[in-house]
Amino acid sequence: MLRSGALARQPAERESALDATRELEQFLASVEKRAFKIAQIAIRDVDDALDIVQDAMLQLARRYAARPPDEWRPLFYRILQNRIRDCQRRRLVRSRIFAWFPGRQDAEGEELGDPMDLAPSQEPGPSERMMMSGALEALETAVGRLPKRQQQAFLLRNFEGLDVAQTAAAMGCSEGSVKTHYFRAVQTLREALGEHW
Amino acid sequence: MSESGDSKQRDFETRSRELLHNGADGLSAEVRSRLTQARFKALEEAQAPSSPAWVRVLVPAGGLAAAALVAVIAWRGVVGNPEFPASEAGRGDALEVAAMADDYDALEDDVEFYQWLDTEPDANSPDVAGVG
Repeated sequence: MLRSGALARQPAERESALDATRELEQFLASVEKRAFKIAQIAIRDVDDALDIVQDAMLQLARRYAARPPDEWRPLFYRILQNRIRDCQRRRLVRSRIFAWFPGRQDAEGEELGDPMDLAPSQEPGPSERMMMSGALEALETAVGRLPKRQQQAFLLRNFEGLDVAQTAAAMGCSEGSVKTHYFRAVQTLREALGEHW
Repeated sequence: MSESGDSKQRDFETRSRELLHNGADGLSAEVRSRLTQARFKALEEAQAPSSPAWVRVLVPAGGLAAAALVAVIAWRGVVGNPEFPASEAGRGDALEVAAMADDYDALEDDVEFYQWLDTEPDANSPDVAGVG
């Protein structure tokens, strides 16, 4: 009796699991492009930005898929911001390590610099820049130059559309700090881009 | 902030949001494809059967218990044995070294005595065993 009841529940459980997976897929599909842009603006490298988004997706799926779906967005962006910060720290460490090594020199004795700088750039080339909107390029450059916390607040509030409480959860700070960082970010961007932008 | 200032700020926020969304919608096909692959990988991860709850709890707990047991046994073996307290054992080692140093001093001081002793018949040898 009990066994047949358990068997009868299995299809319902499978259906429920499929629904949860579909919901997670819809959520990830809804945030992936903006998440990539946020990572790309912060990191300025396509491959690293893609890795960061993939890590954030995996982490959310592994650890938080069972949480209520309305918690996913702040959790996902919290993970994303942590991954961005980890990547920036790794770069800082790498640049410090390279600073300890004597610079490589070419045949004429000129310094060749960091080999990573010689790798093909992931930044858009001249033709891509021509196609890219000048206004968008100016905005992305200005946002990329903002202090980190202002950048996070601006992108999460303005671009991703999180409210103040969700942004505070994603950034791991108070709602008052979010408001301050966001206000300063907008002021800085308006000054940088000019009144007639 | 004045009303015109508020209005300009709102305009700025609206325009920048639209531009950033256009940028996200205009991602290259390669980037979109890689994002889709990343999403599928994450979904596979979410669907993968996880260990039962009791395994997730008991395995780390068992590991910790075993480590604690080994630590307690090792600690009792060295410190807790009343016949060989650690301080006594340490002192014994030091005394042994000091005694060995005394022996070497005696060897140096009494070379003539040991030379004489070498010429004497062995006290344990059969020919002197009965002397008494």
